[in-house]
Amino acid sequence: MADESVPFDDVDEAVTWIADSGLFIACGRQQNNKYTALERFARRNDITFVIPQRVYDELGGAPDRSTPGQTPINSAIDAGWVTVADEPDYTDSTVSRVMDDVRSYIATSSNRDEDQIEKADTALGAVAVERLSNNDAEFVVVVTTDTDAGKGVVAALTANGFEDRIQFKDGFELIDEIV
Amino acid sequence: MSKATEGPERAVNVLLSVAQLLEEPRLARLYTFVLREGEVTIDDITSKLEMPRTTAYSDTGTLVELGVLTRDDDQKTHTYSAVPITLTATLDDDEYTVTPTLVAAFGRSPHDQDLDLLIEKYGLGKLAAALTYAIPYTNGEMSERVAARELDLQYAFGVAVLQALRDVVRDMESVDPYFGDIQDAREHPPATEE
Repeated sequence: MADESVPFDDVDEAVTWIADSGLFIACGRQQNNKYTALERFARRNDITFVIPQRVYDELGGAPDRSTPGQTPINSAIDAGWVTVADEPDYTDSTVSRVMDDVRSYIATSSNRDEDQIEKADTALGAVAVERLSNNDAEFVVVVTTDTDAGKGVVAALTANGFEDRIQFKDGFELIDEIV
Repeated sequence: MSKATEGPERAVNVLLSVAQLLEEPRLARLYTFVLREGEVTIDDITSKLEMPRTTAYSDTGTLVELGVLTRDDDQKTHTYSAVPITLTATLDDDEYTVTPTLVAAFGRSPHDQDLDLLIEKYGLGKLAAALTYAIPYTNGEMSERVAARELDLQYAFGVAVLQALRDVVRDMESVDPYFGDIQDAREHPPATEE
């Protein structure tokens, strides 16, 4: 086990962890002990992973014999260490600005036109900005295996006045540290 | 072999060898193992791949016949090494270069439920296509979401496939001499719908 480096470990204020589909999928691939390790990590650090509704929907529709088809996301929700976020208020101007910024970041980094990036691709950013602007959280950690999305959310929130209140944690790195 | 036929003959023989490697995952896995190790004995194969001795002998024999492994008979214990293969298929404007990385991905499929399901449901062509996305994805140059969507798989399943291939890419990048020839989906955006 590598040393754990937990973002915002040294702050007393509320920290919200927003997790992406890829984290749960990566935990389920090959040996399932990674999923147990993630639950243990959440409990030990008193973390409830918040997932956008979109992420929940994505994990639900996978083929039975695939890894995500066997990911026990519902039991994690029942057990309380994962929770599904309410749909963000897309009419809020800060939310929509952040989503636009995330979209253009992903488009550039993936070498695609902006109209090839979907609203769902920006869901992590929308939930993050809502938590921060409602003061539900002082800090947000976005944990994802999608490097582009993670960096995009940090860039977009930084550009919209939330600098130093957001961090991206690489999902594969987190798994290496906790297993 | 006359000089005039040597080129075409070799090309077609490579085509047939590659086709056979991509037919039987056990051969693909053995070939990949030898390529990664550099030089191996039958003992290495039986212990590392947990393969019965008779299978190890017969499979290495098959691969030597195909010309993708060579056997060094000079030493007391025979050693095997791999011949890196590369084959470019061109169809109209579409091009794909098969290299040892695709062989490695195929060889892993019986041990990886996501790759196995992908090949069963969509065939080897989809695995090859997924690899062109897994390369920029692994290098942080393409969003997981964009790649999974363009692969046209159920989203979460697409992510699982990309993650499975990420392991292959990381293992093969430094081993496959033709890795750089594999097409990169980042360079080929899908046509925007009018």
